[in-house]
Amino acid sequence: MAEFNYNDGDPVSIPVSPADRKKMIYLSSGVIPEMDLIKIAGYALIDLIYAVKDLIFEDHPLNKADQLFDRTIGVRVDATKFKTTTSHSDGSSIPITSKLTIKADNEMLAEFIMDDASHPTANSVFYFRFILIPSEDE
Amino acid sequence: MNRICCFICFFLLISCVFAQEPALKQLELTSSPAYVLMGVQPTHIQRPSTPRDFAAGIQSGLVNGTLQPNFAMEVNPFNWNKKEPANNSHSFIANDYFDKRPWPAIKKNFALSLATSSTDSVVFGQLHKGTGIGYGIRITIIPGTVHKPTYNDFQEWATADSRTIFVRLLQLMLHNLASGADPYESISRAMERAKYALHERKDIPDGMKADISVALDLYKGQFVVIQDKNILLAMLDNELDTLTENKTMAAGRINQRITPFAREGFILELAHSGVSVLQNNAWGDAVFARAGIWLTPSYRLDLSSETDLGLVQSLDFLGIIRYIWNDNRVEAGHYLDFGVKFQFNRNDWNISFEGIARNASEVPENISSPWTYSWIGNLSYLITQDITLRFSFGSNFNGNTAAYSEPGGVIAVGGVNFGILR
Repeated sequence: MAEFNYNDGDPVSIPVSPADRKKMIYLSSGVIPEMDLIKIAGYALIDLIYAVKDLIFEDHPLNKADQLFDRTIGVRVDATKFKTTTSHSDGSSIPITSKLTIKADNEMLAEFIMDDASHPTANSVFYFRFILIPSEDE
Repeated sequence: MNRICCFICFFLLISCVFAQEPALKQLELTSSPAYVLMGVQPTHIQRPSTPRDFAAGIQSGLVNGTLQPNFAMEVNPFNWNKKEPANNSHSFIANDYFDKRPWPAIKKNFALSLATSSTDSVVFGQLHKGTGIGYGIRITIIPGTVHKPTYNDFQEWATADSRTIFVRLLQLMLHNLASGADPYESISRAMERAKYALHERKDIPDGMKADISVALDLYKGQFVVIQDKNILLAMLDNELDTLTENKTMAAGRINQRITPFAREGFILELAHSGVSVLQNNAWGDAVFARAGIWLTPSYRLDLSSETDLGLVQSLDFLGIIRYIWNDNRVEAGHYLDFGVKFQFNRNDWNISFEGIARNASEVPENISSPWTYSWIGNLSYLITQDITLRFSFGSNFNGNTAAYSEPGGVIAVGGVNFGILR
């Protein structure tokens, strides 16, 4: 197994403008392999509200932005690779990329991307942590 | 000895092109059923296999005693409208691989094909030479099962992954639990959520979920007796290490196999084909010459080694029962074929032997028996997924009942198969 922490595990601060503070925060997650040889299984765990989601999900609602201010929100993406076609290659060594996007309604607030190319294994775990904060111009 | 070597080399060097299934791999170009009716197929029994979304290829066959190129293409129309959300196309949808129900298997393994070839004046009796155009349909009625070691590894992974969710949820809940409080309620809530997550997951086959749910209940038992939150948290940390190792090992074994999700066990395929002959290559002289329907039961015995995951080895037992209807200008009677085939597969090559007995419903007066036979040996080596080296030898049917006797003609076809696959 290989573990990867975005920003070395320190939560990333995401400023939210006054116009967005009453908007709903949505999370989306995607995991993409470098080759079609494998497909990805596993799950994502959103630890603020203990939600278990598919590994790949779109627009999962959390709460209104101002209800989430100053709380650390963690998303743990636990991805397993399975070789699904015929090949002599070991599917475990194929790198994958995990992406987390954070939106306030339809407006993109942040996008985090990590890959396991430095140490690809059959089971790669990606941690994303962030904190929503009121922007300074408020 | 030198003469034998030269003989083999000669046939291997013939630059004829093929488009037949190498049978070992699940997703390769298969031969069109129409080739069988046209009489240009070196082998008469094909192992059922999953068709590609699209496959086309050129093969050579014996037509009037000489090698001539034939073209075929095969598609699975059920895949044409298969839509997956762009972001989810890399998800492992477990039921696509593990489902044992007939209807999903029929949809996945349904294949329509078209084939064309010059027609053989012996195979097609009194019809003039021309071009044969044939259609074929293949339907897998019983799909077999996923490679057993892969199934066991996948269940081990799925059980460990579901337990990991339970442990992670319990850790989060315990961190928010007041010190000194009884953790039992947290354990129960974590288990409830883990089971709900299991029920909702698409990367675990539905048929496996009941067993995993029982495994989760058994797993919960070791935690409910512990009432100290800190002891429980330390125990969960240790458990995570074990579960992670189990997951990585199980998935790693699947990833090292060459064909992890190949089907084995009993597979039953139904095929139908029809061939029209365009005499003198003119549409006006077209005749619907021949049609056939056949059942191919097969059983694959896995002989792979669990210590050497790169070695794929299996033994196939196949049978066939086929009815062929002939237009009266081709043949006075119709055919009923019975056959068996044995095939040994090892990594990229396979060797097979088949025998077919044919009964004609009517034979000319000078023919003493309605029975004839064919036997064929075959050796294939897969160079890449779309290039296969092949050598077939044996004794084929003597065309039609006008020359219906003990088949004395030798069939020996060698060459390289080329295909276009998607």
